[in-house]
Amino acid sequence: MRNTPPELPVCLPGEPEAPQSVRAAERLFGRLRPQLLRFAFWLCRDRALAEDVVQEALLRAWRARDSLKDPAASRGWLLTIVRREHARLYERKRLETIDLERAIDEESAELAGGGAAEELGELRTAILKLPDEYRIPLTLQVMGGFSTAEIAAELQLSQAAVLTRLFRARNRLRVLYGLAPAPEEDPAP
Amino acid sequence: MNCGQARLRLGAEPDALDAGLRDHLARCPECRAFRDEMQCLERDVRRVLAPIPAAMGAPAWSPRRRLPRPGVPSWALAASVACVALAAALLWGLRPVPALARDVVAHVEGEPQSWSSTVVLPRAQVEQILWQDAGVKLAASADVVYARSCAFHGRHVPHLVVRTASGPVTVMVLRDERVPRAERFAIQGYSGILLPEPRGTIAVLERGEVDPARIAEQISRALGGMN
Repeated sequence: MRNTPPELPVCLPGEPEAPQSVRAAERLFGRLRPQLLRFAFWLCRDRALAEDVVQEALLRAWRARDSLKDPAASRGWLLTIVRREHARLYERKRLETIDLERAIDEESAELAGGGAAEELGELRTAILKLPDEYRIPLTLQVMGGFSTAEIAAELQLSQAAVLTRLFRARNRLRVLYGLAPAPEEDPAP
Repeated sequence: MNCGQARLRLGAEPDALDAGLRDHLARCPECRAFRDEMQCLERDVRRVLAPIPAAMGAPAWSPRRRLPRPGVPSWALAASVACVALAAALLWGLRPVPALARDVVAHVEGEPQSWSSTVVLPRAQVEQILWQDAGVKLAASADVVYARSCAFHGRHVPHLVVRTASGPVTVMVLRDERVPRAERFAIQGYSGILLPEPRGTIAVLERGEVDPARIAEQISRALGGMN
C-alpha cells in the first residue's frame, strides 16, 4: 500500500525536528532526485521544465515528510508528488507550445548519454512522440512500477481505460519493430 | 478469454500471467508469439526509460538551498557551491564503477515492481530458485518478498528482494561472475556492493539508508557462503 502523497504542505521548513531525521530525509531526497528528474523529463519532455517540476515537488515533499509513514514506499510517494506537480504546472498556466521535433533533437544526445540505450534512438523518439494520454501511463508503469489500479487511481480513470491506453501505447511502438499493430479490442468486461 | 482480450492484457502488461491468461496461452501459439514480441519490446522500452544521463543527476538537493543566508553575497555562495560541486564531481568521476555494477543497476531498474512487493514468499519457493539458478541452499531464514529467475549476462540468476528493518534490499546471486575484492558503488540513486564469494559474486543493492556491506555479509551467511 502506498503512502498518500500530500495535497498541501503540512509543516514548514525550520520547525524543530531531530537533526538525524532531517539529515536522513535530505539524503533520501538527494539520492532519489536523479530518478525523479528522469521521470519528470519523460512526463514533460523538457529538461529545464523537468528540473522545475522536481524542485517544486521536493519542496512540497519536504514540507510533508512527516506524512511518509513507510520509508520503503518513499520512491512511489515521491514519484506521485512529481506527477501531481507536473499536472499542477499545466493547470496553473498554459505552457508555451514546444517544437517537438527540435526538442527531441536537442535532448536526444543527452538522453542517449545513459550508455545502455545508444542504439535505441528510434524507440526513444517514438516514446517521446506518444501523446500524453499514452506516454504518461506508460511512464508511470515502466519507470514508477505503478500497477494499473494505482495508475487508474492516480489519473482518475477506470482500470479498463488504463489497460486500453497502455495497450495502445505499446501497439504504436510495435510498428518500429516491423510488427503489424494488433487489432484493438474493447476491454474485457 | 479470447485472443483479443489476451492481447489487450499482454499489450498493457507484457509480464502479466494470471490463471485465465495462462490457460489461453497454453492453447494459443499465436498469442504466445505475441507475448514474446511484447516482452522483447518491453525490455527495450525499459532500457530507453531507465538510464539517467549524468547531466540530469548532478546537482544535489537540499531544502536549505532556498533559505536566505544574510551576509554572504549570492555570487560568492554560487561560486562556492560550484567549486564544491566541481571538486566532488571530479573526485567521484575518478572513482571507477565496475561494469558489473552498472549491469546490475540496469537490470534492477528494469524491474521497478520488485521494490513494491511486501508479501513474504514461502521459503520453498525461494529455495527452488536459488538452487536451480545458482546451486546454493538457504542456510538461514530471510524475509524474501520477491524472487525471480532472471536472465542476466546470458544466464538465469536468482533476483531477490529481502525485507530488512531499514527497508527492502535487492540481492542477485551471480554464480558465474568474479570480482577480485568487495566493490562498493553508487549509481543512479542506488548504492550497493559486489561481494566476492568462493564460487561467484553476491550483488546487494539498496536505495535507502541500509549499509549494503552489512546486509551483504548477512546474505552471504544465509547462503552458506555460496559453497
